[in-house]
Amino acid sequence: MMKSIFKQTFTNAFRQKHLQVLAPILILLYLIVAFNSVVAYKTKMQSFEKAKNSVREAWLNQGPQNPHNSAHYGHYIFQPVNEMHLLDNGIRSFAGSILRLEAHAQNEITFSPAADKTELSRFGDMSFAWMLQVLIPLFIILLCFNSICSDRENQNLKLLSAQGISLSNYIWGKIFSLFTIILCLAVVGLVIQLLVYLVFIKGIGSFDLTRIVIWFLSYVVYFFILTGLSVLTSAWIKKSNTSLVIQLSCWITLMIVMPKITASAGVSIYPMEHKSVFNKALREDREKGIDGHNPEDERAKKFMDSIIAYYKIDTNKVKDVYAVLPVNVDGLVMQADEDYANLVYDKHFKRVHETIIKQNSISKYASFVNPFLAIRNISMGISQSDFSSHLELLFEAEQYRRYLIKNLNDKMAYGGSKTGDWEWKVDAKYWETVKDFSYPSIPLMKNLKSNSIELSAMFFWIILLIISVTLTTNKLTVL
Amino acid sequence: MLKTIYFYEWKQMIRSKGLIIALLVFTGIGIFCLEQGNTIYKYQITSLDSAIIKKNRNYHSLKATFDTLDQSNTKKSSIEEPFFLEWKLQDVVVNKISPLCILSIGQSDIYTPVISGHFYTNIFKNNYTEFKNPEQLFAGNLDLAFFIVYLFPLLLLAITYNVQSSDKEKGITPLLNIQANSLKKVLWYRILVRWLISLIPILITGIISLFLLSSLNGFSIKDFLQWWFIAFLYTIFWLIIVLFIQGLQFNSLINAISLAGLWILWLVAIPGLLNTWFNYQYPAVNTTEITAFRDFTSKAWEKSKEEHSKYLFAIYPELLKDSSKLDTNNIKSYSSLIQIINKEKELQNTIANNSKSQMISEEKCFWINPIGGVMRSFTTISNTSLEQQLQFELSTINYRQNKLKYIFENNLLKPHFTKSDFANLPKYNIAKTEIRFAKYLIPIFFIIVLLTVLTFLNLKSRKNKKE
Repeated sequence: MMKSIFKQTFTNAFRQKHLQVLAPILILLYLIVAFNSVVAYKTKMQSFEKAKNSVREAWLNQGPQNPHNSAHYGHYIFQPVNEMHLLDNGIRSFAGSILRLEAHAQNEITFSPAADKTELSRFGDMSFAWMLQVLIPLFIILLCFNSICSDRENQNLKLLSAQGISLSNYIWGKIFSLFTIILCLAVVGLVIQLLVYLVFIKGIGSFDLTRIVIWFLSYVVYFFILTGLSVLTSAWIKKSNTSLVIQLSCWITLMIVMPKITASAGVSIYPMEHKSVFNKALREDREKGIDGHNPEDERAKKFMDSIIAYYKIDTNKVKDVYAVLPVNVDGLVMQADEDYANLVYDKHFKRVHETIIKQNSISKYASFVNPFLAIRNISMGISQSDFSSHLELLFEAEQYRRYLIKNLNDKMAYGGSKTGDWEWKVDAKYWETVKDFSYPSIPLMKNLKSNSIELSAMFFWIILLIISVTLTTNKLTVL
Repeated sequence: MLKTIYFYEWKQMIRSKGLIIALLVFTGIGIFCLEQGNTIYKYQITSLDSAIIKKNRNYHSLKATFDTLDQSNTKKSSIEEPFFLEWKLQDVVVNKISPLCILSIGQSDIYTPVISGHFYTNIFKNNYTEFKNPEQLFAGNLDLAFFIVYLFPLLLLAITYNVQSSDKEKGITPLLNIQANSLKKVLWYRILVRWLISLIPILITGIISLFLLSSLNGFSIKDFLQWWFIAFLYTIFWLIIVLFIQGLQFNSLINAISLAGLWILWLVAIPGLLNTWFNYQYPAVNTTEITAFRDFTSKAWEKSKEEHSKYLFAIYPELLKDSSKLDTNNIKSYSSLIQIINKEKELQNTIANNSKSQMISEEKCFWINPIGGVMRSFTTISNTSLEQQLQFELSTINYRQNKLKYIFENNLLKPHFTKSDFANLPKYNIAKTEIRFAKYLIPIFFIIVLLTVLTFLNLKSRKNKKE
């Protein structure tokens, strides 16, 4: 019986004129989005590779240089690009794209692409993920809004009921048939995207297929939930046009209004501290440490004395203590300053990042009310274009900064220079011994783990759908 | 007749619990939007105020320090040294934040209203930029502009999509046909009344916004009225669309699909596609240019003193006379900084020109994206547009350049940097721009006129057919 309903609904759906008109439009949009993603990816990848190589080249070609000058010259880290960003670019336009690493300061990532854009950019742009998250649900509504109420309106339901059809089979038959159509449309979209990527991007073979499969599977679950809800709404509402208006209102509320409300609520509940407050707290804590650039600083003096004591130099006998020391104390003082500053930065930046995580947690928990928020976050997570991936980059970049500056300070301290000799320069070959930054690759499991709330929400929606279908079956009226 | 229809619709509204709930919900969202705008405005004002207070405190304490100096000596005190003076001054430059930012936040949550005014820093490294949550920026803000642009049409569409068709479907139309002189007139009046009903949440939030904004510094009633005029024009735009679609006499389902389709087309599909196209056409700042700027800066400082002297004396030939007496460190610093700031300006101009080209292209597309024009008008009046931010950034660089010139010239050419020199330090001035937004509204105005004409023609042709 369910098979017959499946077949009948499937055939009827394909006969619907709006599906016949909208499906080609959707396919055209898939193509536009695929080509746009390719162009954007290529531009970003080229820019990223060029910038990354030029920075490394500049580092290697510094020539003879004082290590501390190099520490101030610093290094740059750029927002990396990976193949998954073709599918979902996530928050990357709003996160900074260039991070300067230098001595004495943990800088913030700057130059978010959105900062150069006009207010119209806030209308959003199209990506394959956006189509799957926002447009396909609209398609689901157009396909399902009258799936049951039209049967009721034209008395088909009465007829089917008289024939002894199980209502449970009837509803599940409707859901599965309409879901199959949606799934076909989505699969066509994915195939188009992948084909365009394979044809137009050289070396795209590095694509992580497991990641894509899991990414798409999460969308399959999302479509199933939405199809089920749409069919159920059609069962609950008696008139087709009322069902359409209600479902469109839900679409707008869930996809357009609610994400803004949850984001705003997050900011209101967990307000971000002002930069002036942050800077003041940071400055106060830093002042409690050693000033690496001021030998007159009391703590620096004490530190220097401890080094003299360590090397057992009798200050009464030796006139120029620093000339006798086998190390350059300046390098050691600067590293001590860095070590202390790192603790301070960790303390303060951790607070800021925790505030942002708390702000975002509202949207995470709201996934139990709105499946769109769940899929949006899961999709961004798997595509490594969410905030936790951004945070991972910042963390790795900071670790690299610490490695880099320590390396340079150690070279200054133990490389053969004397204290106070700021003109001392290292050999040009030294720069090669400093390893380059390796951009983090986050394991899929870690991405999924960071979205465990959203995954639980999806599971919750599936259970809710099954319960709702059972309840609706018991209460469905044929008139 | 209008009066009768008005009373009829009013009674219908009072009886309809759903509509009353919808109006209350929309009013609630409107007030929430105002609250959101107000929160962001207050946050920005706090940043601004704390920066200004700190700046003023430093300025006055530094000014007082000049009273304690004995400038009869030939040796300059440390406070007269350009870098020390700048470091002590902790200068900042702040952008004007209009209270209308509460109504349309625009891009002001991304842009920074406080920039360091130090001559030795650069615009690309701003320590005053507030922390931002990228996920929140990605979701966007819920402000009154969003409420009017996105949500108002939905309310209007929901209460008007079946004005005529529901009568037809219920079989009332023949009854009305007998009673009324013109069924079209009845339909139009009913839509007009429902449009007025849908304006209730806007009217309430408008009144609240007037109370909220009028007590704030920098509030301009003219700008406020202009903002609401645009909002009103936008509501008329949707009224005309509803009239036009209703004039086509489809059934309720097709009406709902057509109106929702137009909403999606104008508010989601067209802007989304255009943004996708513009992102490709005008890619964001080139990262290599930013890193090249660091290399330029580093090389500028590494140049020999002779090279710097040559560069500076070409600009200031008068310095050549007493060149031996000049502080070589200051010559090096001044020459390096002039070159760096010129390069920074060049780079900023490149970025600004790219953004301006995008703005011009977007303006051309307002003919297919008329709501973009409405949005730009809102942000222009609220001083939250990209153009105004670019102007702020450019005027900041100009200010830093002027200050650099002033401090170093006085240091190099005069024996001492005096208190009066300090008092005459250049002041920051942002170039005043005329708020011009009419050109952005031409497309939407044209569409309103066109649809009005088409609706009338449609009405006429149907009348003729009847006859």
